[in-house]
Amino acid sequence: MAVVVCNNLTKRYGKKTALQNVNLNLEPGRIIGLAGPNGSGKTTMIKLMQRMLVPTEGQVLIQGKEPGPETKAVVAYLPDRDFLPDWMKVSALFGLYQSYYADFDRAAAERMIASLGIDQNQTFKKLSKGTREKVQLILTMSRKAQVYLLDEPIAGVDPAARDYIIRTIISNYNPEAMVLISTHLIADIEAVLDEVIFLKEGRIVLHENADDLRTKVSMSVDEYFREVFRC
Amino acid sequence: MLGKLLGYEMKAYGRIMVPIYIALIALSVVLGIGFHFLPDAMTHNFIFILLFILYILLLVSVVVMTTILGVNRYYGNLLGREGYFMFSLPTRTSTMMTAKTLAALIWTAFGAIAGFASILLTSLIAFNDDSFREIADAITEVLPQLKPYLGNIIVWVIVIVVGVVTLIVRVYAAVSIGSQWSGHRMIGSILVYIGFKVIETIIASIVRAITPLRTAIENIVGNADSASFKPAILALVIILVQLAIYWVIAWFFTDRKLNLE
Amino acid sequence: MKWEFKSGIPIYLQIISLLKMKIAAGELPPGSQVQPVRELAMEAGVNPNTMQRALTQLEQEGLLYTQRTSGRFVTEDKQVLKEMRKSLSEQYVKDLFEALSKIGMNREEIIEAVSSFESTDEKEA
Repeated sequence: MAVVVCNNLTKRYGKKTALQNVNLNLEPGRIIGLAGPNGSGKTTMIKLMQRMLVPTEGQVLIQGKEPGPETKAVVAYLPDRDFLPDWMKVSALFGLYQSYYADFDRAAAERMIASLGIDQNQTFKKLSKGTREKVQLILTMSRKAQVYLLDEPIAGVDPAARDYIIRTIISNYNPEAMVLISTHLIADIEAVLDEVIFLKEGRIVLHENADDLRTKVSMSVDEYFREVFRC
Repeated sequence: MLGKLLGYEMKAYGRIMVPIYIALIALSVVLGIGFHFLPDAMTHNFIFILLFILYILLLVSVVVMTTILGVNRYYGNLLGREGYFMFSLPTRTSTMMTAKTLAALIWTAFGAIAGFASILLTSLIAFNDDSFREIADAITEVLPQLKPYLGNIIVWVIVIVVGVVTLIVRVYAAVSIGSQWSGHRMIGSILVYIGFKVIETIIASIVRAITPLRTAIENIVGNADSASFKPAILALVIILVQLAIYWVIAWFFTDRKLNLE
Repeated sequence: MKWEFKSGIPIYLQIISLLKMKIAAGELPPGSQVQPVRELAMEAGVNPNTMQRALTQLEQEGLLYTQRTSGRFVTEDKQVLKEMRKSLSEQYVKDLFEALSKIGMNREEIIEAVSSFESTDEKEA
């Protein structure tokens, strides 16, 4: 049973088409890469799953339901920017997640924060950019969600931070959940993907099992990605 | 969920407003004591004049900060960067809007109470003598006479409260439309707000221009005796219609046309 | 032995050969316990499903075995280990022959080169 289904999902902003007739079935227990260059519609697709955008045509269903309060309770979303109320202390942010999300594992989040040596009494705003990104990732991954939507979690981070992010995702995601990771740099996350989706100008050009694809094209997903999206 | 959201809004306002209230009340006490012991201080004591200016500034900042926060809890928190957090919460847009409106209303009331309390406190301390007792006595004397008008007063208080809510929701409607204009959100919101006021004025002139309507309104307002509920009810109906329209506009552009930065 | 992956080959196959190398090199001695899937996946930076697939195949080949309660262990069966070494060495020999034929050596010359080869370690000794 697919946990996320897109049926003819289309989103237009005025005359500009951001997403065109997307049909997808995403299964639970899989880590799926949503790859495409900037402007290919990755963020639009994720926002449609969180009902931060309303489809122009078609629909997206999460556990069979249109996105809304019920689906948001089981979807953990990491946007591609700072998104938390930054005047709050890290501990207060934990409190916020705990009160809003029944699936938030505060103890796990506190362990991860402690292992990074981050002071919980620090105000979020005063943390460094890299630390803020880690705190946001930790809050997202500490939910035992059914769907994780991670929008460009590794864009613009150094290799050490990238390894930390990947390890945090692997070691914390709920194994019955579906993890969707959007990226324009597939090499960085290639080894963690079960499946890849290539998005080009709002259309899906490929959706395949990562190891099958490697066998089929005799190259890495990254090399193939570069070939498909060659300028 | 509404309770949780409201609690979060209260905290967001409180961290800014509570220190201002505390400073205001503290300064009221200081000024009251000053007036009490140095009745002429205003004319020649430089520090005292400075404190008085500070007090006025604090009173103004209660109004200004309540307004800024009221706008920004929608414009910044819901439609800005933090919107990515807010719209990921397992709740409906209308619930978030309700929480924000209630919080804005509550803090407007707190602001009014704080301002009134500070002036009262200053006077209490400054004129801590018989003259104050006389004022208090006068008030207790007048109150029973107001009794026949109690119902009317209550309706007018409701009109004022709903009026404040309408003002808040009109701002929400303006910023939710203004935020559609990526890159010019702020100026867009201001222009839309001005547009709303212009449209309201035009509609009011049209209503006045239509003779039967005008006569009907004049009949209600003009011929009513002082204990009549009619004028207050008319005002309430007009404001409620505005509120409903602005609420639908704000909801539509926040929920169906969300355009986070 | 580091977890590094080459392009164009399914990652689970690369994990299998890396784990075989670790067993052959004694990094994972016979009878020793293998880390849980998730931990191993985290260490390698790969998907836990992929790691699971590789471990399952190694179990099918008899190199690993599972004890229901205590986890997954490296086999102590000498015969199985010997065969694994043999198949690993075959791959190396194959690579060697391919590389040397490319630079124009024939079979006899290669065998000659191998048997007269002294490793640097031996020379120093």
